[in-house]
Amino acid sequence: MKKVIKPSKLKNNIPVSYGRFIFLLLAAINLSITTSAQDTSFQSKHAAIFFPYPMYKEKWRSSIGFTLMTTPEDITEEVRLRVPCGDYRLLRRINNHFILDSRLWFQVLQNHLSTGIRYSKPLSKNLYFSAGDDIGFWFGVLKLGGFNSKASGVLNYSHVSLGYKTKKDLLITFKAQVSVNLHYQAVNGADKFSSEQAYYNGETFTLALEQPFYNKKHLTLAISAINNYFYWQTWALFYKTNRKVFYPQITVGFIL
Amino acid sequence: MYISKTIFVAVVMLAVMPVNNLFAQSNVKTDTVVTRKQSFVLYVGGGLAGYTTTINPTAGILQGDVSKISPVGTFRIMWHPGYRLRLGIETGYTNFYSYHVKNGNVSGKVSLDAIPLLIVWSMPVVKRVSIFAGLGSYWLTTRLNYDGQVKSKTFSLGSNIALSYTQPLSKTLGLAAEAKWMNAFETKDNLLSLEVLLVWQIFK
Amino acid sequence: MPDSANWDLFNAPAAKRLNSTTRSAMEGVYTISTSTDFFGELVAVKWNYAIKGGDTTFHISGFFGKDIAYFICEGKQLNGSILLNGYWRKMVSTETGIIRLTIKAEDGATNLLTAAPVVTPGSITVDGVYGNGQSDPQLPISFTYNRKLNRNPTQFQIVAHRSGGRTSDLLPVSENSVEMILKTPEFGSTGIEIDVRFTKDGVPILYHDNKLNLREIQKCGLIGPIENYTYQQLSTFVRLIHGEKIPTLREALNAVVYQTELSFVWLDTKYVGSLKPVAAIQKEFLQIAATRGRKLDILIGLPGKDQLNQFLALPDYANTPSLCELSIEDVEKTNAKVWAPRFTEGTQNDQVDRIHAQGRRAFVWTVDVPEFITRFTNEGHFDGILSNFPSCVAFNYYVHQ
Repeated sequence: MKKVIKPSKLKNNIPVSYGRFIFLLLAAINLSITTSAQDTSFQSKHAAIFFPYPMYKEKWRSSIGFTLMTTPEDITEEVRLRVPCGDYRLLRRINNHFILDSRLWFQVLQNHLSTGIRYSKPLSKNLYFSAGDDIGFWFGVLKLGGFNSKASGVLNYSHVSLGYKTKKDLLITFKAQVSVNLHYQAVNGADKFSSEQAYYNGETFTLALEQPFYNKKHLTLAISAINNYFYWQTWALFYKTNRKVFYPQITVGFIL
Repeated sequence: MYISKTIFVAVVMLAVMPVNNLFAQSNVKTDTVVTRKQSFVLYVGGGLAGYTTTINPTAGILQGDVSKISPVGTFRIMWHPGYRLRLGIETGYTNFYSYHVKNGNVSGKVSLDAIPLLIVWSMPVVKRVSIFAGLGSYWLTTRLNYDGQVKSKTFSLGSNIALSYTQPLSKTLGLAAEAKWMNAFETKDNLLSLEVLLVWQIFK
Repeated sequence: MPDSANWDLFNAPAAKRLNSTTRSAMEGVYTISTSTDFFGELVAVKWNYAIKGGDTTFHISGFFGKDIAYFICEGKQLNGSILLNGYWRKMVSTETGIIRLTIKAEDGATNLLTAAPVVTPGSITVDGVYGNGQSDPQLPISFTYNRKLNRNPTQFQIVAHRSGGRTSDLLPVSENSVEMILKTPEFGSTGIEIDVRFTKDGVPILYHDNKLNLREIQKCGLIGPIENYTYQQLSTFVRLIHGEKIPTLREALNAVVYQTELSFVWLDTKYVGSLKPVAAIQKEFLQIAATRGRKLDILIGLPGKDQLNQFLALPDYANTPSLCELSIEDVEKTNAKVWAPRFTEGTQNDQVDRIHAQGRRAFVWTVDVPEFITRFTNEGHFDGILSNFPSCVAFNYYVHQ
């Protein structure tokens, strides 16, 4: 028996089911085109380091700056780390979505080099997403003041970022990262200690703002909340603590 | 078959939007074509501050309550390089708290003051409203009057964050109302202040 | 530290204290048969005591080989069994919980409660349960007597840093306090290292940092160098993290001599100034200890050249017991009884043997990594180890064969 649609059930005289179907179809088409639309208006002048923007045009992107961190007093006591750490970032385009992301932290007594792959994808016109994994190697040497120590280690960092591009030139990024300690080795005098036992090290959450600052130069300002059992900058003071320790960190970077 | 206006408009928009996105790049202007003017802006003023962290003086000797409300002064100079982000230096003065004690026949008083010295970043959020965030140091001084007088100092890393509304009075002058949270994190001292500041564009 | 006071059996009116013969016979190295994945293969069990408020409190401590774990219990006898009630803790994390142990009559308690117990391998079996946090203990643990505690060399000192451990080690009492001095034997310490400073009015006190800060004290409004304040001001306003007063050196040594069985005190002089007041107090308490028949070393620590020069200015420095952290030549210059190098230089067995040949002792500081503690105990020739984890040093020393 043929189903009769009575006039009162029609929304503005079109079958509701058809209307909804067409709406959903067009919405899906719109969304897919929107998400795959390359926003190549993002010029290199808008260069961003934290912001998960794919590198469509440039081959390289870099920044130089520093990080500032303070150590928890109940762990490091009166030896507060107040020396800034140099921070150099280098991004190399692999293809439209994959980027090789390298970072060098340098602080004379200890240094950290990491490299990894980052996958970036626009979710909408203003919203961007990236995920990546880095391997980091750090080493430290202390041979003064009665110390005869050196140490090194390897960590793995996995991270995801969500970036929002505002109407003005402000780029806001939220990054969540977890780290796993893979290897640790310390030498004190003739005594060596090493640990191959991998353990979950902790989390880091970062909020970064990137925007033009002065004379066409862009600046990265980021604040990070590091919650780790072990942080490489404090190797000379202690190894792994018996609980996660909170380290606040500021990053300032000038995008080159 | 009749097509209503609502659905027609919706269909047209949905059909047009993807096409519009593909040509979106041609509609974006970069900021760098705009000429930027620099200026220096001075903020001077003060208000009242309330100490927000807990302090528990030694049991049995406290006389009255711990005084946690005190005046606060701010002096800040900001460089506006022509973009959204601004950079400056801030200092000032405040008293965190004070209290009186009596132990047997001996009375006394403890007071903790602070002078901040911070590098400050700021950004306008909406028209006339800016957010400030600073990082630097607090120079703390204890004044103790008990069994003799002691003036003892220490240094603490610290920060502040403020939300400020500025009402222009003239081309170079304005009046700002500011809510600010100050934190000397090594000594775990936090303060919330409400201030009125004179804003003066001293150089352009 | 969890509250372990709710074991009805242990709190029964008929439960009585253990006597010294029983306590002594229980000490030894035990083989763990249950929960080895959590506590390891062996546990070294030893009794200790402290006199608090006129009462002598005995504790039995067990030092495990895994994760710097230990248990601390009190002991009683009830109906022919021995009951041990207390808590366990792992220093590599913040894990802790209640532990309840029993030695049944047929598992060795009958023998232990006799006038002359005879203890052989396998003759004592300790069964019990442990739990996590404040929850009722339900996980099984069991260990059996294996052998006596190693006490060779007999002069070996397990020295606790800052009288027992640091604030960051999350112990139930504050570092450098009388309360910590009374608690430290439970952690396996036979000696302590304490930090000495002077107040504005010349009173020697125990305090580690240069300044009053929230790592060591509760917030009170007093900040800056501790030397800015008189003892009266500190005593009135300042409380350590767990509420204790800052002790004077005299109060600390009183506690050591009259309230504990500790046999070694290292006075780490954190200030630069005359050592005469400290030397005078040192001499006074060495005489008191000698009068009481207490075997006790109190040594003035010389961490740097400034303190060394101040020490050499003492009229009778050659006969003033001291501990020198600098070079062997400085040890000889000051006629120090102990040479104490930093652990970062390694075991330095040749240098230690050279010190021994001079009739002196050698300690090493501050060793906290378990692998290093094991190495220094088993392969080093040192006579003592300073550590924030005396329980780990105790385990390695007592189980060493």
